[in-house]
Amino acid sequence: MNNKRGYFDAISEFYDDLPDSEIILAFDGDVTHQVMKAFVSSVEDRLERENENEASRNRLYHVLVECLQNINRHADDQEPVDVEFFPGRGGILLSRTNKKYCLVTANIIRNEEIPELKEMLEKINPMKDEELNLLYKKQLTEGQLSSKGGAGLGFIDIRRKTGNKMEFKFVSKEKETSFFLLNITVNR
Amino acid sequence: MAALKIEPGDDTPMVILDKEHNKFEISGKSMPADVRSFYQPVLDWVSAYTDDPLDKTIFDFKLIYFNTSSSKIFLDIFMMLEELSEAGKEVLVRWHSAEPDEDMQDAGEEYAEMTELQFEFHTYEF
Repeated sequence: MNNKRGYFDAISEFYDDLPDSEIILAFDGDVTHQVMKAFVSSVEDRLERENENEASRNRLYHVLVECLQNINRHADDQEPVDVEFFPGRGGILLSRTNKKYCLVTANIIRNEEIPELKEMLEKINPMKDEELNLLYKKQLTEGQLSSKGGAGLGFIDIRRKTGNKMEFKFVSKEKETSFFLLNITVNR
Repeated sequence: MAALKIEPGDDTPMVILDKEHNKFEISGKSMPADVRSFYQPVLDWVSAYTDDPLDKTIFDFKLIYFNTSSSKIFLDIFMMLEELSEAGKEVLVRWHSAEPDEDMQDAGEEYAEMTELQFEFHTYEF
């Protein structure tokens, strides 16, 4: 894999609906807090101009904030792997069809983080609304804010707000790192 | 006790904690870059307030948007207010949501279920 195109190659291999979709946002770079804010307000403004329905807009907004903050938060506690694959770098592709929005993100994680992440997503995905609400409340009550401000609530809330399962994949990159690819769907 | 007032930013809410005028409000957007450092003064203020509270506290939450990290902080605030209520003081949380925003209304109802506090729900035209 060519390092310079790595993030989007990984995304396009993972996400095969692309030919039928309209691209709203494509980005490969450092996902800072400022970048996150700029993207969410740009997408929000556009969808408002297009009179997208309010519920879809709000949900997409929420999904964008949580996913981009995840990548951003993740950045600080890692050593750079190399110049191209620095922590905080994320590939982001937001596209839509007549029926749904798809947000695909790619970022680098350490292999040792995979089991916990995988277990969490596999646990949440099949849950019904009631179970999700219970788990959310449990995590809200018992969970602690991490030093980076993560509350462990993001995926649970994305899952229950969108009503859709999250697709994910880990693609081995270097000896100690992998791409974490995530595909989230928001119905229109 | 000196009032705490924080002007709203593009990712942070307006905060008014003013015992003298019996006005307690968090409103706007809440998705700070660093949720802990933004809310620490707020949590400290509320904590100090619980040592010498008014007989009746009405706390307004009027949010357009908040991220999941902020939701954890709000629960911490509610827990402190709950102590007041357990100590025999009257506490009312007024949860405001924009007219079509069901998710915001649901979030308030969820807090109402999770705490022993009295909640009142209001909608406004956005």
